[in-house]
Amino acid sequence: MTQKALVIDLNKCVGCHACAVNCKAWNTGGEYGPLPDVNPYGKDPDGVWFNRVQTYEVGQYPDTEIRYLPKSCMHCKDAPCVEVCPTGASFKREEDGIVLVNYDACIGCKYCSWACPYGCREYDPLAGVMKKCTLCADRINNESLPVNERQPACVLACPTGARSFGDIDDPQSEVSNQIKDKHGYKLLPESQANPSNHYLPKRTNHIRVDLEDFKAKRKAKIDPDKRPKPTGLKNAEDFASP
Amino acid sequence: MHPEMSLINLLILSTSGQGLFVLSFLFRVFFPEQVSDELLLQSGILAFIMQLFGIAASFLHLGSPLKATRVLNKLNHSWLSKEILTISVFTFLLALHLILIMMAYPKFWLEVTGSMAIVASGTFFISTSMVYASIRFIKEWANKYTLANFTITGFIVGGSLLISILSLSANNRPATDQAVFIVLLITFFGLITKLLTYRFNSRMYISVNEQSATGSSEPSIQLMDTGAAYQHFNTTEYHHPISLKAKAVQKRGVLLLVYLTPIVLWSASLLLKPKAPFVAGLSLLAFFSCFSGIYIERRLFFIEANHWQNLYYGNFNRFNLKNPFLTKTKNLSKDVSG
Repeated sequence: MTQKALVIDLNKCVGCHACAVNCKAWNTGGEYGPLPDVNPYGKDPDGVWFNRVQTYEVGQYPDTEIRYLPKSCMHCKDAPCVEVCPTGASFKREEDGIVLVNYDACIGCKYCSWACPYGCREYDPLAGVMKKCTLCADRINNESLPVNERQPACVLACPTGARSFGDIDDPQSEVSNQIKDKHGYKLLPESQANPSNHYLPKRTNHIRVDLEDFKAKRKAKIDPDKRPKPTGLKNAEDFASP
Repeated sequence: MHPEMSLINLLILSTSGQGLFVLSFLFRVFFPEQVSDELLLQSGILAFIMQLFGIAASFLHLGSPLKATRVLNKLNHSWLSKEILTISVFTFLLALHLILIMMAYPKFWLEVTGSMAIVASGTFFISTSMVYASIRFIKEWANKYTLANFTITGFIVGGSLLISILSLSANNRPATDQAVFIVLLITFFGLITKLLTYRFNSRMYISVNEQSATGSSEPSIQLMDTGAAYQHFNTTEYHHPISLKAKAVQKRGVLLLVYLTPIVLWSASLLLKPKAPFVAGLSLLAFFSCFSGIYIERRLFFIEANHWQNLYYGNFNRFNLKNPFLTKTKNLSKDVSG
């Protein structure tokens, strides 16, 4: 059994949204597009995005930090959205486990989105059908592209290499090793949907700072009178003085 | 969840219409001398019209209504497919039953088609409830009360309509009183079920939180930006802004309009034994009270649904309210900590 999926290293993600923008750019012109925008410059902009980067603040002030969570379809192994679809438009592709939507069969009842615990299904109001991340199915199987480009657009766009793509059911694959070595986890394990996308946990470097000492040094740095005198020339010959 | 009028209309019209027909047919079977074929025909035609309007409303919900016939493709595992099949089968059998009545067919054939329609109606009630109860990510829906409430409210509104028809037809006082007594019992049972539903929802254990949604172990996680999602499908479809006070007022309104007012009016009709025009007036008043209240009830059913995906869009209501009629947010912290 093959299960293609994304592995996202939250330690590397810097929240630049390049994955989301490149996803939108590729899929708008791709086989599973378009991804329309409704009223994009108005008061209430609306639009279809397969990939969204969410920003969270964790911890209590002043010990807080910003974390990013890129989120797209999880391509669940027990996909609830596929089970409930009344038309069979939502299906899980047998050869690689990708969950796809057949737009010709979709009637736009939105029932699949009710059954998705991750909020990763998007309704296209112009076409009247549900759309979702396809893991760039039109790229990864496209033999006209160079082999190294047969990857999802978001993976190619990530400047920090936070996103990896591969077969998580193959124990020898790079993504499987990443999940094993870096303790990859799944979002919302309570959903029992068995999501395929994995996240590598954020590792935090804890640096202890004495706040009073920090303030004193900062004040000294600002105040020119209390600034420490340069001592580099103490034992050296002073060539600058007349 | 956003309360969509097309779905609310489908649910109310179809369940009420089927409740009307099922009660009328059972009355005809058990009290044949009091309920004529003509009366069954009247209520059957009304139920048929309600089914047609319900089906028409369901089309308005679809993004691509021209492909609607595909909805029957996955009958083996989608409750939505089963719902559409059963409402179609019921409507067909009801139409057949009405045609047979109009053509004065023997009683045997009327009972066969009527019984088949009742079986189809039973499967419809199960299917339409399971469409909602099978969504395990909305705990307000995924429980036994969904089926009970859908069925009982269908019979209450349908029953109130039947009482109105009976009270308007001449020389039908015994049948009206019997119908009032039976529907009164159903309504009283419905009131208990509704109160139990409110109690269940207010004491429900919510197993998910921001930590499990993001995989972070930090005790404090706050969503800052939903990512190009200021107002899009996932933020508008699954969330309806409503204050606690408005919700509490609407819940009281539901209890008053759907259950208490009809109970009082029908009890008055039974106990005081007023003249026929007064009975008709009370019955119509009870029906309008039920019918307007059920719209508020079904709207609240959607509004109260707290989908897990709201965790990712900052709309998740994590407050486990001890009191379903709570109106002030200042009590929230006390309730949550308790």
